Amino acid sequence: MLALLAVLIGLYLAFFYAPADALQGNVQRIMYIHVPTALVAFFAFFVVFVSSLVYLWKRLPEADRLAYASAEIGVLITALTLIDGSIWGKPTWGTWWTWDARLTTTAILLVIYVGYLMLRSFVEEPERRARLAALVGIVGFIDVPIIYMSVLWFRTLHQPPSLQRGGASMPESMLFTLLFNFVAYTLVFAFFLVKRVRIESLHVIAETLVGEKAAHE
Amino acid sequence: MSNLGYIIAAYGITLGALALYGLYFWSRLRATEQDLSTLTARERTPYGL
Repeated sequence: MLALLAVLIGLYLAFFYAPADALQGNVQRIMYIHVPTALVAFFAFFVVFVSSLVYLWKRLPEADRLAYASAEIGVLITALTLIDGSIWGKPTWGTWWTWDARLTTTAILLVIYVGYLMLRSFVEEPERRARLAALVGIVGFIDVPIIYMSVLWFRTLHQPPSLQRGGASMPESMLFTLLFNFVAYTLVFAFFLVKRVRIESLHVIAETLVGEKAAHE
Repeated sequence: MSNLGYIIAAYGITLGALALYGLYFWSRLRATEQDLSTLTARERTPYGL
């Protein structure tokens, strides 16, 4: 409920509070959904990275379930980031897609974590599945700092980071709207994550019950 | 497409997909809870009844 309210307030701020951009006009308002979803996707994969490390260290099934849940949501949000970025690219760059460093590394991130989800569905033995997935979850995260730095390391069409050390290159009203939307989409992510982990936990309980029942019979 | 069209498409697709995922979630959670309550109800029912 809080997440929904925050998204609605974020929409109000994006369309009625933040001013139109001097160069791009109103189409720049796509930034208030594109940048927050991109940052939340990075955060989702950071959760996968940390949970995977915890799993390999402590062998906690809860950490594996958290990584799985976060990866699934991260894949959805990364795909949406690429889609809304592409829609923003058409009126500003004149193309839906270009093999630019930022776009390409983000597409690679999506492929890595789709692979992570596929791996989980291919391996049946739970302990082996969790161990292999944790390795992919950790190694795959290397792409996140590369994506962030890609606009500084390579010649690219993409604008430099909107938020960086030393301040943002935008008016305060735009910055506030951007940060508020980031909080709103982080709340949406947190809501999905809690529910997704609950589904996984219930599945495990159900499987245990079925196993016990089969053992009795 | 006009600028407004791009804005509507970007917000519509992103928010629509998140809303659909939320609905899918909700139905999955309900189904799992139902399966579990069926299983636990069976556990509580004495054999032969």
